[in-house]
Amino acid sequence: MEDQVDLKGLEKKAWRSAFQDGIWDIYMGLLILGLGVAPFGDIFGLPAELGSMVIVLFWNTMAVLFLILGKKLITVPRIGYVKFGAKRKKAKKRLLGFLLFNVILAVFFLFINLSGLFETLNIGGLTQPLLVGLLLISVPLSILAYFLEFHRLYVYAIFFGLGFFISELLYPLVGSPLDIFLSLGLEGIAVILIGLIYLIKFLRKYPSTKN
Amino acid sequence: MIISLLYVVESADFLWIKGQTKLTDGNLSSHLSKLESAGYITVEKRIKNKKTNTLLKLSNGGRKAFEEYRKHLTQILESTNK
Repeated sequence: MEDQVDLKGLEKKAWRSAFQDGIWDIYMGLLILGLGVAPFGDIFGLPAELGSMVIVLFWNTMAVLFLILGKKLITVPRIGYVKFGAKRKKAKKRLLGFLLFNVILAVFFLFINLSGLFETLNIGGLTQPLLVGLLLISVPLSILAYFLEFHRLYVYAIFFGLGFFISELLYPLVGSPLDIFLSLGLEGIAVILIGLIYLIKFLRKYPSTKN
Repeated sequence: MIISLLYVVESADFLWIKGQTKLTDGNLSSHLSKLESAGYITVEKRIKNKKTNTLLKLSNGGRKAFEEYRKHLTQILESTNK
């Protein structure tokens, strides 16, 4: 019977439909690709660190713009606009609080790294990039996936978290900065490609409508 | 279905409801007119990017009526299961 409709299921289905356009995948891929190309900062003739910062900042801005404009210009004209209820607003607030905590955690880890505590604790070699990647990338992204109910992001979280570890493995073979590009850069490109497949499917399923 | 969808979200436009219900434009418009006349939903016409955009919301009356309806239905189902 129509009336026996599962309201929670209906809301979840509607919420998850927001991720069928691949735009979030492309956004996440762009963020990671940004980290992958960051070590090429010196091509602008700037000092390497400054060049890397410029690249990451530019790339992240582009990624955020892509997410906002993509949703506004691609998704909404095709599947319409919806504003979710109080439950989602509460989750959004908790997510913002968590992201803020994560920034503090990242600064804390940066401080630990700079203070040489990892060496004191005898955490070196491959354990350090593995620990940093999992704690600073995999865990936050998994929590983001949980709040957003964006299930593909759990898989991306694991891959992205292993990025620094893989780059450490690649370093003796290819050197720097190719090690970072071949780990994080290629991971980013792979996720962008997955996103593009979803986007193409979405565009075929929902051609532009003239309302 | 339209009321159920509007019950779980704060507001949605015509295109979104149409996509979720798979109804045709005419059919959906007809349903919406009836629901609006009954006072169950509010319909707000806006101009967005030189196009008309119809924003739909469940009214307080509509929300209460839907909750009552669900309550009655649950009671009926429970009594038939006994």
